[in-house]
Amino acid sequence: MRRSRRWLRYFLPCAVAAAVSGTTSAAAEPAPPTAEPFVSLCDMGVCRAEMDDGQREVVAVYDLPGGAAQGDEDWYTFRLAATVHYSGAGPGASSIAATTNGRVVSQVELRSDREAHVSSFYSGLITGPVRGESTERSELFDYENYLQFKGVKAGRNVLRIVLEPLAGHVVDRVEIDANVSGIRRTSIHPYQLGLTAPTELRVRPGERFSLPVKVERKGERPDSAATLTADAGDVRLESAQFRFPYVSGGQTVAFRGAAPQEGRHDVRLRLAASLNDPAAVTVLVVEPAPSVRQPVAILAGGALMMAVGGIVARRQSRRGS
Amino acid sequence: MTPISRIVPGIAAIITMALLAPVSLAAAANANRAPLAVTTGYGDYFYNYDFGSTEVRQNNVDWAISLYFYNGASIDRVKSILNGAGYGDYSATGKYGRANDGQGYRWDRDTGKKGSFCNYNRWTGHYRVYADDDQYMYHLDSGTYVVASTHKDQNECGGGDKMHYGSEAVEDRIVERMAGMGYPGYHDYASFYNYEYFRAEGNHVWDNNGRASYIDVHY
Repeated sequence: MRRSRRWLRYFLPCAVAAAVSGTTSAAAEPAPPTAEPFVSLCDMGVCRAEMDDGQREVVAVYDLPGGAAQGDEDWYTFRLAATVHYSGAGPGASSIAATTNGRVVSQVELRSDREAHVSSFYSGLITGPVRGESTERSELFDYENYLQFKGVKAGRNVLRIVLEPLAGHVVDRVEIDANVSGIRRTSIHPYQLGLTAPTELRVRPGERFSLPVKVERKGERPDSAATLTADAGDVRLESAQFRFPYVSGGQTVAFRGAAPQEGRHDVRLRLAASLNDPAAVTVLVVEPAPSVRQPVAILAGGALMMAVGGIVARRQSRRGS
Repeated sequence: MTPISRIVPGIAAIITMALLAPVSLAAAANANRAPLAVTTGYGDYFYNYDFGSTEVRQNNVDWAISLYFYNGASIDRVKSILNGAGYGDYSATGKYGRANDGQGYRWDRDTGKKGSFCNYNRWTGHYRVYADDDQYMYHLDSGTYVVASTHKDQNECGGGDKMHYGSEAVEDRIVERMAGMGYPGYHDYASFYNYEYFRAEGNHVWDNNGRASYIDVHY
């Protein structure tokens, strides 16, 4: 896949349109060439980007150079920064998504319960899965992800952001930060650093445990120093951080500690590097120690059975005699 | 339109038959009820069957995974779309999918949705949809995606012989109904290595051609 090295000259935001449900926002003048490998929604001409029941999508257009494609040396990401205002109207679900050329790059899923508490979810190759809970009436989402392979092409590209109600009425309004949201070019490979940890670890209260974590380097991104951190809440760890001068082919370490009281405790793991910051969560399941009553009861029951058996045998032998 | 051309699920299938020695891909392709973790690439994996409980065992599989929703899929969104395709009723029985979105394997429980609840003397379609216990998984070919199993239920209420069958038929029906709603589908697009020849095991009737259909649930 060949592409122009002088991509910046071509990575120019161009025409603009924000159209939805019959409404169209005013088109702005095309932005001048920029030296930064980032084109904001505002650069594309959409500086006021809002969605609600009446206007459920925002559309903008930008150009990429001839030969532009996702991968190899150049990668493209999209950052969505938006404040979502909730209706507080009870149960329901909504989805906010961004697509480039019809291919989904961002998708925020919102689910509201009877008390209008909203749980949210989004995921991607930079953030990993992010789950949230909110009791507020509005919430900020700032989320960047790599475009799909088919979401990048040379020439005219179409960015579309959509608000889609799935059930009930969860979202009143979405305000997109048009200066922060946009398309970025990077040389960082999306699959560079990986973090693997068990999803669950079962221990007894007070028992010492060891949580193994594997850090891997994938793809072509240059090796770099990295810091692995564990946020274990009320679980005490001997060390909550490991520093690696380099990741190389892979490193395995173990967080050690003593299990707290019974219950489920999240151990949040994050690998911080100069590139992507993968994250994982291990649930420490602290189970009650086996009850001592049960073996005692079994022994007592066994003794009783033997005694009864002995009495029956004795009587039978008397009758027979 | 060529759908997600780079996806070749199963080609790099990682064999994970619990309680059995690892099998080769060829052997697995010919086996029945052989749970495998298949991949669509990029470090993502999902099992090609759902399970009766959170245990990967050959005799614990429920139905073959036969649908792959991509490019805008999530558990809630797929269910919302399928509500409009006639699958709006609840089911009581939860089953378990297992998947890994690059952060380790996780179980995902779903009761699924049916055409109608509690049938007597007629069948209804039933699907269950899974990710990795989140709303969706993501990679660069499919975007956001989830997988699903399908089958028919008959005589679940009111007497009569209960029967569960027709996974292939419900898969096809969902593809057609969603196509009618503007979501293009690709019948039997890729092998998920879960071929099941037609046979009955109790009231569970297997019939699966081993190829999953793909549905583009674009926005």
